[in-house]
Amino acid sequence: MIRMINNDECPYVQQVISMYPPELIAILILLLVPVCAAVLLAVFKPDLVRNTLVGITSVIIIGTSIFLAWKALLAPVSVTIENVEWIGILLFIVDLAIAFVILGLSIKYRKILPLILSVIQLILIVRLELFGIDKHEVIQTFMVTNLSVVMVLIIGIIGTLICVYALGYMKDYHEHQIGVPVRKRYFFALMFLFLSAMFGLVLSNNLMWILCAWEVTTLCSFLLIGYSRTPEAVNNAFRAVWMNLIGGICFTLAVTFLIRINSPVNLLSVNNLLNFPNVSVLTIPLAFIAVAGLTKAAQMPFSTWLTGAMVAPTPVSALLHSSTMVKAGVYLLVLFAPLFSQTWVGIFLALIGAFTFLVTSALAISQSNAKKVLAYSTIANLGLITACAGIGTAEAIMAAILLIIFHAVAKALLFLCVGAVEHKIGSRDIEDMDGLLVRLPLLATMMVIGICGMYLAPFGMLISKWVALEAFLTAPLGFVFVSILAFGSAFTIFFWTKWLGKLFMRMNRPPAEKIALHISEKISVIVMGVLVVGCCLGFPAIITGVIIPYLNTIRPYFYQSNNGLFFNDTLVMLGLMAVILLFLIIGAFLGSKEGRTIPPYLGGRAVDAEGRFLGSLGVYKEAKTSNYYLEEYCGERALLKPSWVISGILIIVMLVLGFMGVMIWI
Amino acid sequence: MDIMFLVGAVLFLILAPIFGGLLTGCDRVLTARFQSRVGPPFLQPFYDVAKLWHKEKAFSNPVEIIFTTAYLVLIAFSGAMLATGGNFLFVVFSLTLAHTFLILAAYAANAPFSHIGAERELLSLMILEPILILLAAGCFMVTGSFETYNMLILGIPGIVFLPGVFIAFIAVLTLILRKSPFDISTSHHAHQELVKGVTSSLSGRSLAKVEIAHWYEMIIFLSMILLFFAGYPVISAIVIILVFLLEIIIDNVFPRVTWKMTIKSLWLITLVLGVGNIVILGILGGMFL
Amino acid sequence: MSSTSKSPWLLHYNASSCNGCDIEILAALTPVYDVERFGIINTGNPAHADIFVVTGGVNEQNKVVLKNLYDQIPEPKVVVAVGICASSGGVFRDCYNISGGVDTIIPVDVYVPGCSVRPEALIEGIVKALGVLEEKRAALEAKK
Repeated sequence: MIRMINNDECPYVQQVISMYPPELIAILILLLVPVCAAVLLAVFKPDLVRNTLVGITSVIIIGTSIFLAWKALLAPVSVTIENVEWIGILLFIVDLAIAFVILGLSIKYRKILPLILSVIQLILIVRLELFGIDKHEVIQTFMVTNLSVVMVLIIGIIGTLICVYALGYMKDYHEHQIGVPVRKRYFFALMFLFLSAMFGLVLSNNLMWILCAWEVTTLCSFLLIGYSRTPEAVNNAFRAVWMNLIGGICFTLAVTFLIRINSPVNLLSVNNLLNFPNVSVLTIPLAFIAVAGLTKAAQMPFSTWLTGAMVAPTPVSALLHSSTMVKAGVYLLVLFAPLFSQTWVGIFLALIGAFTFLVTSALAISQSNAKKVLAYSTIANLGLITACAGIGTAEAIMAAILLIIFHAVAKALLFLCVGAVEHKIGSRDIEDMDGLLVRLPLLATMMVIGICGMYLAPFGMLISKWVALEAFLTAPLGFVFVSILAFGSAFTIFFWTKWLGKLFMRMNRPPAEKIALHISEKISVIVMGVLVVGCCLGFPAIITGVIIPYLNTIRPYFYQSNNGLFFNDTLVMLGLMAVILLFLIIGAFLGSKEGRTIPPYLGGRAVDAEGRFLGSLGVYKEAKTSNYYLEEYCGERALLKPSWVISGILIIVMLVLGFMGVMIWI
Repeated sequence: MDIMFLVGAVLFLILAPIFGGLLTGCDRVLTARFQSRVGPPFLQPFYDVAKLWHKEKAFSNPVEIIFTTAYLVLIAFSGAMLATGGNFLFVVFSLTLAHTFLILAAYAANAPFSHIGAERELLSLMILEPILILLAAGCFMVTGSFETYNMLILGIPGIVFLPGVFIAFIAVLTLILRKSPFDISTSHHAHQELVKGVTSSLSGRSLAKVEIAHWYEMIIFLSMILLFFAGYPVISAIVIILVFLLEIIIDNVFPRVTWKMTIKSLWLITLVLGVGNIVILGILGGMFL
Repeated sequence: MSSTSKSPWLLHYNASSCNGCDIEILAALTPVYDVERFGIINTGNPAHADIFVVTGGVNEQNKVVLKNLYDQIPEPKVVVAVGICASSGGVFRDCYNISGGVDTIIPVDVYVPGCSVRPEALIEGIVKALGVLEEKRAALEAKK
């Protein structure tokens, strides 16, 4: 079914040996410029220097990302450099350094589990490097497929915008949080180091390099969560680190098993793996990679590290824990999706993802802390992406990539808005966000765009869910996934509409004095909002220009074209709906608002200018009603422990199936 | 999209509210007769809407004007799509979007009753969403696509493949037609604890638009029954009339069903009958028959 | 007869009445009298109402509420004072705590005296109110 592609034969590959073509320069810029920026940011203290550095670096990164993306969309970029063993050794040293840093901090704070796990990881990596790898065969160094293009653009554009936003945000953060020591150099250095690691993760072709980048992201996440050094932050940071260490260990085990396989090609190359004919011997490494992806994407039972990570400053939540780092986990799963589609390991991976989607959507209903709602929603969407990756058919991969794109833009926008709103109104509770449309018009409008982009027709997420539904229906065991999706999406409607409604409530207050946003915050939020709308409008172009060519490179005849029908009718209907909505929006602004304003009704009670009702003893009181939280059904107390049990069982079954090498007969 | 589809859509847009209003009128007359009363004239709903249309323009928050318009327009749009045999899943998503606008209109009023009404309406939306998606999935599993047109031209009527989904759908229809429970918003009874809930701050034209939208909704959901009995128009008509009568009887016989009971019972029914049906269909490989 | 009088929706308010008249109002909705024949619905919501039916003389607590409810009803609207207490204060007219009839607070269009009012008289009062409602609607249309 899959034929092995030799680098020489494939007509798409451009062999590069010692020239310096623009693609290679672009890749090197994306890898090295953030690291240099990180070093400079760690050194210089003055705000002006920092702002300039971040600004210039962001422009460079955005420009280079777009350039590389454009190049790779024309033809997949493949770069092979000779004599790169020294890089391998360097990365091994980085792995050791990371392990020692985690070890040291675990000893300092007396955390047993991270200590044990980092020791295990250390031993495994040393064993792998010294005794395992002896293939020095030259493999492709960098690979930029359309999937990598999507990730590069997400990291390059969204990631840098978040760093720009952080400039204004951190200033307010330290004004509000007086007890936290100011370590802005450390903060920004880590953010840019993280960006570099992410680029390394998505551009590399060598699994050992990807592993190193993976570990660097774990370290950055660990250090950034614990930024404020409060006991809660420290605990949550260590929880994040031990769960991600489990992922790292599984990844290392996957590589260990991989190199034991008797194969004429070097299986450390992702390219070779994807074209390997005999997938049944790959099931064990695949199962371990699945677990690694699950931990990084905070799926059940590993969800608590992500919800706990919300104590970190909002740029950290936006960058690491919604748009980028957790996407690394699902990126890995989507990358190997064609392999997952042939084995029962994939089906169980998809089951874990779908189950997570269901449970975390329910959990999100019970939360009133805005960041926790966003966290649970992130985990839910990642669950959906995982489910699509596990199923691995052409439609499923298309759904997964669409979900990645739309979720990244909308969620980043929401986090940026919530962060700014929190500083302006002093609370991150949704119950305090009523009347936001008159109190903070710009932020509230952007929030509305973000929320609509997460679940309403005709925005992007809905289209992705639709494609996912179609993918589920044509997959083995599809009926189970469809049922889970039906209930899960009902939950998502509930908690998003609740929040959306809250923004429109109590608009009868007097307009607030102008609260100024920092210029950096304003730029990021507005650009992100434009991106959300742009991606939604441009989704047909995304499908035809990016996703379908990607699917065709996996297997040229993979993609059945009955989706031509999907395309035409769907586009017409979506277009009609978009036109209707456009007319409604225009009507909202141009329509006449003449009419008498009736005060709100509460049994005829008198109302004052601020919307408070006349209570007993002649005192005007606020009538506060809060949303439904359905604690007894959807609360953490009710749902967390049973879901750990169920998802734990599913993981164990998945690993067993991997060891047994069970395949699907298509 | 040829000319027949456009004609079908236009016919639906014009005829559905007329039929919906007449059905609502019949509903009120029948309910009155069950209660040993005479009841209003059959055309009463049209008089109601005409009266509301000519009331003074008053609102508690001007955004409710555009939201109720959006609700009406989108419901009509969904119905037109359904009537032309279009993509059922898209119809479901479009209906959800329409409902969201109504709920936002209620949130935007500045009153506590409206807020509670909005929350209850949101709960209703959450309850009815799964069975609709399962129905869409069932259609796909039987015909290979979401187009309702394919369900209507099947040789064997859909109910043979989807009996469980049908029963679950009828159960949820009680909620959709606002017959029960009594404490969701907009149930048609005069005295209920929410002072009309979702519509409590809407007046005049906004309320008229919501009424017309409810007529459209009634026709849309009753015509979904056609998906199960395609090819047998007489049986379909009889089933629809029977279901309608059943809903009115339920309304009169079970007046004190609360929303909590509703969530539990309806989701249990959806899970057991709806999901069970789909699972069995999937196992039997009932695809593309 | 325009649609306004074919679909009159009531708002019923008790401004410190003894409940005698209120019981008779509710009796009108029962099968014996069945005012729904005229399309009358008893809504509990001023935003939906056309006819404001008030019972009881008005006391301090009720004054503000009565005024607010009247204001929240959109035009065209009529007020029907049901019972002698609502019309003029009745037996309690000179009491220190009673305002002395609804028309001391809001303009009344139809008075239906009685203690307590008979449903037949009430229905006739409502029908008269429908005539006034028609006139008001015509005036509203003419103003536009």
